[in-house]
Amino acid sequence: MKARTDGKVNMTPLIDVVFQMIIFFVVTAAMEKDSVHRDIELAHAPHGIPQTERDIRAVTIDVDTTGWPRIGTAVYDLDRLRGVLGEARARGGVDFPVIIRADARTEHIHVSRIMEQAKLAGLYRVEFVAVHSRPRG
Amino acid sequence: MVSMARLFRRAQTGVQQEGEVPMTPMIDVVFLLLIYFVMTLDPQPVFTHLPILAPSSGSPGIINIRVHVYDAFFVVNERRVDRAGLRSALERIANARGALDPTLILIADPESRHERLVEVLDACSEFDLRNLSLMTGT
Repeated sequence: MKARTDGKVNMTPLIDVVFQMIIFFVVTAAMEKDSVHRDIELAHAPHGIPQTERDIRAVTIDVDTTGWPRIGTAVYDLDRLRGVLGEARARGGVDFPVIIRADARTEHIHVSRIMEQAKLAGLYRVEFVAVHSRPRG
Repeated sequence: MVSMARLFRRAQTGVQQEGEVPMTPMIDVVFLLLIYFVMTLDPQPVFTHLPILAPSSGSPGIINIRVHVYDAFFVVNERRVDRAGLRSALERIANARGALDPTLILIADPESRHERLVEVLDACSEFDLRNLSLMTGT
């Protein structure tokens, strides 16, 4: 209290707060990367192999019940999806997986259309994501 | 009348009133503990990946087993089975395979839910059947 009377701003709490915010954003950013869009409900596969490491070249495609493919937050039609996959193939080769996170209730036809685009782009490895636990109830 | 202890405390802290606990360092410490636990938390893997290969034009394995996936049931080798029947059928296939790894051709109905396919893939993973090929059809 006494030290501040001469008009100087105390820097220590400011730096403390900034550090806390940096740590907070770093931690939440790391969590954000693996999170699935909230309207996608994945199927359960208790016997699948848990995923520990991931290929950085992998393309993750989300499919909700409407069947539209989505990469990140962008929705693609099938032609543009093929373009994106083709570019990914040109950069990364053919041996990286296309990871499909489809809602459990999505009709297979939507998933098969995406697999077809991957095949047309020359990518043959497809992985489906499921939750590594038993369904509740 | 000011007691000796109170005088002593005043001299130490300068500003503290008697009976007040300073909250700021406590909150600082709690934050640090929170961050420590968040960072050292080792989460169990939540997701699992079920790999599959697009059907190739090359010669498939010697033994081919066709598994049809419909929304309400499965068909293994022309026999209609439910979920438990699928598991026992795949278990038999896995036990009888010997050195020859059979190729499972999964044929998913376009109108079946994705969940049903994941069930088959999960059962294949359970019995270590790795040669999977997925087609779409009825």
